[in-house]
Amino acid sequence: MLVGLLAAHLVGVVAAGLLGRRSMSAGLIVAAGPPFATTVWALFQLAGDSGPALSELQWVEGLGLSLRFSVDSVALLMTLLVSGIGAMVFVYSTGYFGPTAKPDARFAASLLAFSGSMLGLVWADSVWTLFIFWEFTSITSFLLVGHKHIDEAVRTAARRALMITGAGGLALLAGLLLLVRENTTTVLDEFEPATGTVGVVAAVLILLGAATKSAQVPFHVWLPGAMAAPTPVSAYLHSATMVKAGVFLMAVMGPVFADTAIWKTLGATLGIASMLWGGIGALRHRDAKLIMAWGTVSQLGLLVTLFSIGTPKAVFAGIAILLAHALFKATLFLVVGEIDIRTGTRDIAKLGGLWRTMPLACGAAVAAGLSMAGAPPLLGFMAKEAAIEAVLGLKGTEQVVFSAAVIVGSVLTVAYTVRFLLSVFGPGPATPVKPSRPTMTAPALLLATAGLAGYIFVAAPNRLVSDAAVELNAAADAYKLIPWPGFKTAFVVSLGILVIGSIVGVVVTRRGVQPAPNPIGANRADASIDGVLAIAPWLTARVQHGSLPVYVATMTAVAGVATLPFLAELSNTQLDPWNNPVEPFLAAVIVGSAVAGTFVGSRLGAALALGAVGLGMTALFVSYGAPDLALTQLLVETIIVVGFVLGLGRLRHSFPTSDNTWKTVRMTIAGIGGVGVTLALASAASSPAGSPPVGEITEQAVQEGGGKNLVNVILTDLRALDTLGEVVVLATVAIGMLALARVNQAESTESAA
Amino acid sequence: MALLLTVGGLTSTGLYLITARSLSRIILGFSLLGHAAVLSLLIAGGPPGTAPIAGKASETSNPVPQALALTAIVISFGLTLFLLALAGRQQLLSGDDLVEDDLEDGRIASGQNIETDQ
Amino acid sequence: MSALVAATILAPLFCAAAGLAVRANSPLRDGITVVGLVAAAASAVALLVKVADTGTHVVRVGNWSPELGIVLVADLFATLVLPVALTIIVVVEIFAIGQRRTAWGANPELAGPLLCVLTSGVSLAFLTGDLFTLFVAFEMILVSSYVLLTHQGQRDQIRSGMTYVVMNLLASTLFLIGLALVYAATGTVNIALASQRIAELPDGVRLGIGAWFLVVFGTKAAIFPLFSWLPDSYPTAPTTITAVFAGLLTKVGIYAMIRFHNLAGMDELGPIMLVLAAFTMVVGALGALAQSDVKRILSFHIVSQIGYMLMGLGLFTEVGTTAAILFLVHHMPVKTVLFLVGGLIENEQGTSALASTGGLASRRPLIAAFFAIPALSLAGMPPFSGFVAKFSVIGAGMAETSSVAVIIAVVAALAAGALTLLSMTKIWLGVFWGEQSAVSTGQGSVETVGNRRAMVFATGMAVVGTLAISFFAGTVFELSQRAAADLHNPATYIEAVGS
Repeated sequence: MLVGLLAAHLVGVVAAGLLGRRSMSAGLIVAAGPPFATTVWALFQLAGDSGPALSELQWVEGLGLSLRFSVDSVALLMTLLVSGIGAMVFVYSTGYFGPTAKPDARFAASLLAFSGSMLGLVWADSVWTLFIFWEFTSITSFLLVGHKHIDEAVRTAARRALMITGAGGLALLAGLLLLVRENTTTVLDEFEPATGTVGVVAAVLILLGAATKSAQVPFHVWLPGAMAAPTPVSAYLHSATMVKAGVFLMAVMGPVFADTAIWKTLGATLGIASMLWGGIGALRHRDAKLIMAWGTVSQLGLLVTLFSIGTPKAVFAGIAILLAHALFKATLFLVVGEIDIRTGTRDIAKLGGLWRTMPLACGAAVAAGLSMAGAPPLLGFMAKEAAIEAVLGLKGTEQVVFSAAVIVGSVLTVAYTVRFLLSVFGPGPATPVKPSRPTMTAPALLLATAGLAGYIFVAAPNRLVSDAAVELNAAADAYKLIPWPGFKTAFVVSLGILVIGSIVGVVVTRRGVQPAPNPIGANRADASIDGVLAIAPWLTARVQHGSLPVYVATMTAVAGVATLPFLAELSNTQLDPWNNPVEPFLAAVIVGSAVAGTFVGSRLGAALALGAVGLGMTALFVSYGAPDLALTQLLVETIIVVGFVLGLGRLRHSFPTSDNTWKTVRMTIAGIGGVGVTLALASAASSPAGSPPVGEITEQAVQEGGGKNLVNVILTDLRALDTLGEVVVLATVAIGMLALARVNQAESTESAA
Repeated sequence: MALLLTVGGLTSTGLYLITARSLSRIILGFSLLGHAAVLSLLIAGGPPGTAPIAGKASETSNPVPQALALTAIVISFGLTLFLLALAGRQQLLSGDDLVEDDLEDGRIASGQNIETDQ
Repeated sequence: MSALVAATILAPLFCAAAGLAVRANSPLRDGITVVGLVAAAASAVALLVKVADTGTHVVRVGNWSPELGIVLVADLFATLVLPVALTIIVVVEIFAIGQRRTAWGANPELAGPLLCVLTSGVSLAFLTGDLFTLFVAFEMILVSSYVLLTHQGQRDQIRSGMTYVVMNLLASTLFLIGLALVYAATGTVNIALASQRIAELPDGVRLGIGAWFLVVFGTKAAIFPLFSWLPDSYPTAPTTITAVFAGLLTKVGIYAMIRFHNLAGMDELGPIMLVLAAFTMVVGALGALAQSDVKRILSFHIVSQIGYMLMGLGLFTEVGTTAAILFLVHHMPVKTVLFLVGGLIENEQGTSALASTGGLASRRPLIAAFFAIPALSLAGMPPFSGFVAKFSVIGAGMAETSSVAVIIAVVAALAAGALTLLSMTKIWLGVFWGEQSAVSTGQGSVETVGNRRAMVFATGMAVVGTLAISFFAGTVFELSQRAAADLHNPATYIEAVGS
């Protein structure tokens, strides 16, 4: 069933792409199908209370790479969010792009591809399945952020998002590999608690993966940039679902790292920093989408903090906020999108009084906003209560630190909510609006109502949250969502937060509009990417000179180094001074001519020296008992010397000289190379592990080869294949020379004509 | 020993020449290196002897490296000719047989690459 | 089965000769070329099926014993890599036939036959069980590539051709000296016998030989610091030629290394190889980021990716070698496709420089998809073969984190992954997103449209091929695992070759 649902998404992607080329809306409507079906399935699953669904597809068995899915309570909750909100976002998109939208094959298809990837991620039962779909979400997010890629800023934002989440993905890969190495399984539920250094390294790497995906400080910078995407994408990927993937990962990995201190401290540090910095960011910006994005960073920070704490109550509160946040933040984004489309701006300084002109959207936004602020009678209130109880219930320093952080974070949340609602909907002249689009308003209202209904009919969310929390931490069954707790400490604190937050919010709003802050973080991220792009030429210029002599010298030097191991065996080498008294004489002639040829200034002189070397070699071959070699050598050498003189006759007669330092370098390297080769040859034969079967060759050659000249027999019979290759080489050279000659000729005819 | 030193001498001079900028010198260098390689094959085959003709009573030299060396000589010969043709073409194009540097690498090295990466 | 082995080597050679003979008649010539290449590829596939089933098959050329004559060894490693390589060549030839009449085509009279010669050399290099024949095979590949690179005689081609020829000629000379070293130490150039005897040599000689061949094969494979010739020479050739070079030539080098260094048991060189691999991966990827032309970017990534294979080999474990082989099989088609897409971009936009391209995704979504799939694969993104390959290499490294060199290599592999992603993003943003570039190709003729179809069709086939490797990654992994097991038990290989 699970695989079937994913396959339906895949089919939907193709269908949406094909239909989208004709009509944007048609593509979107078709794309809404699979998420809708999945939502219905999930609801039945919830009602039916059947056991966990499980499917597996083998891929690379030898590496443990398979697609293994199962749906437990956590996954079911996530499924409802991913597919439920997904279906509504598709409907909303038809309104967002409007009836006059240009046909587009990519948008609906990419969005549905994301939806399917996210399902795969939350259904993953093995770490590799999770990782594979994790990467899919990064790629689909990249495509969606870059939807309006004509704009350079959009392209930069897309690149930033992909690089940060992509790098995080690599950290995650490394972390998971370490974890799998320590366990024999890849199934998530079967991991043993991590221990030791490996545990610490794995914890840090996996946290890095989670923090980049869930936009935690200092990796959060991609998220505000991702607001360059169309608003439905921001609502869906960058608030309700994808950014929750990191939190989801932390939740399911929590038990594995329960005993790893760094998991808790590092996680909480990232979470608290994000909670506070995100809240401040949301208070400073004036683009409504950026306010929401920074608010998301803050809320994700709270979630990361709660899952780092990891107590049953914190896990319970974390799940509750996960649910509540998806509902209220998606609503708020959808409303912002509607405002954007109908007023033409998202700048809260230019907006105002919309409660009169957009009453339904206003209602949805207020309900969602209050839920975000943690005010009753809404789901967000109960979730926030649970969180405050969880941190107040800690002991010692932890209690102080976490309580203070959560309280300050919540005050900021209330403040930016109040600022947003007051500025956009509050008193003042109403911004002129275009006609309403019901397909945009309806999904927002529906999601906002869900937040309210969750408070009134508390049993439903209670079951969802409690089942999921118990799945992660069995002790969490002691807790539930409480609509009216009475005047207990946590409730008093909540009220205090609401009051102080509202005051701060009103004050900030009254203070008027400040210029939008510079996106320092984002710039810095881009600068580091550009930095890598800048180091690259610098480094490349140092290894890639583009100059052949340098390459050859490098290679020669490396070859010289490669002969070093031979030196170890040099002491075992015994060498006769010569085999034959004529050898030293010939050696002197050859080396002497070679040296002369090297340093002679004229071309003719060099050719003569080359000829002398060749003659010396010929004589040497004769003295060695290799007459065939001698003959061939003589022939070849003659042709080359003649060719050298004639072929290059038109060249100037003296060689160009190079500067002296470079000459010294060349000489040193060449000297080392020569010495290296000599010593290598000397020691290679020091203790041979086998000897050539000379006798056998003689015997066989006469019997079967039918020839007496052994070299000939070898060439034409024993190693005939080599000879064939040799002929091919010569023929090919001839073709190449002919081709070049033809080009030369064609050009001279052309210039003559 | 004498032969080993010959190999060493030929290798050194050959390597020195192929690091030059003039293609004629490079060709010269490869000729010397070719000699060095052929000679090392010969040395690797063991001590010298009489020509490897079957049926002679005396100790013959090892024919296998000679066969290998022969193939190697012919292949090097072909490639040297090809290099000569290249040098000729280069001469026609640039009026000299000097090996030119890669333009794109030069451009990057001189820092002209700071243009947009989009 | 011997006939199949012979067919992979001789069929293309025969068709090269026939193609040259009928050079005036272009449809016939193209037909002959394709037939020869398809015959070789089909034989290679049949060979893989048989060898996977019945085990290593040895052909004694002229029926001489390995001690005396040449043997061809169709073991699983060779027969796994060969069909992939030969199929790539077929696809590229189809692309080339389409590209002929465009401004970026190669000389039609020569390109086909020369490609056949190169194919024959590749088959011989993969199948030979003899070090000297490997040298000859290398020369066949190289000499045809020299001519392919320079036969049009343009100035930048001659310039880069010189770099390419000189560097490879030096490597060939060093190869000969290496052969002398092996022969002096073991009295044979048969790979099986030599590796058996090398194992008995004193450490200094053994490792010296290993290090020497690391330089020789490393130059062909373009590992750090011997890679510089590659990015200078590859991009100047016509696309199809670059695509073949990119897909195959460096791979022959790394293939030889995987075979030789494993069989001869050069484990002690592992740490050096791992550090070199780390540098190769990172320096190659950074080099790619420094470029602003699609073909140059892709050329540097060849270097970077070779690093991954060297890392797999340098671990000297069975899982490491498995990963290296898997990576090899994944990399050949993916790299070729990317260069073919580079050719399509050039055809559409008149250039492959990022500064003068843009907005191609809107105009040619199919080309965008053809780029996106192998590019994501190259960056190691699931569900493509590149992910499996990278995953297996890094996983093999993670299994051995006791040594510093391994940790360096693992970190480098991860970093290179991120850099590759950035680099692919750079191409994507530069070529496919943004404003549509105004450059027109000026090739509106009907004929060009037909040519473009052949090019797009060939590229599409290659993309499907890479997807098939991704889909059947499990099977490819299993085969790689078996091939690696053979390489780690030299006795199997030696026994098969006999004496």
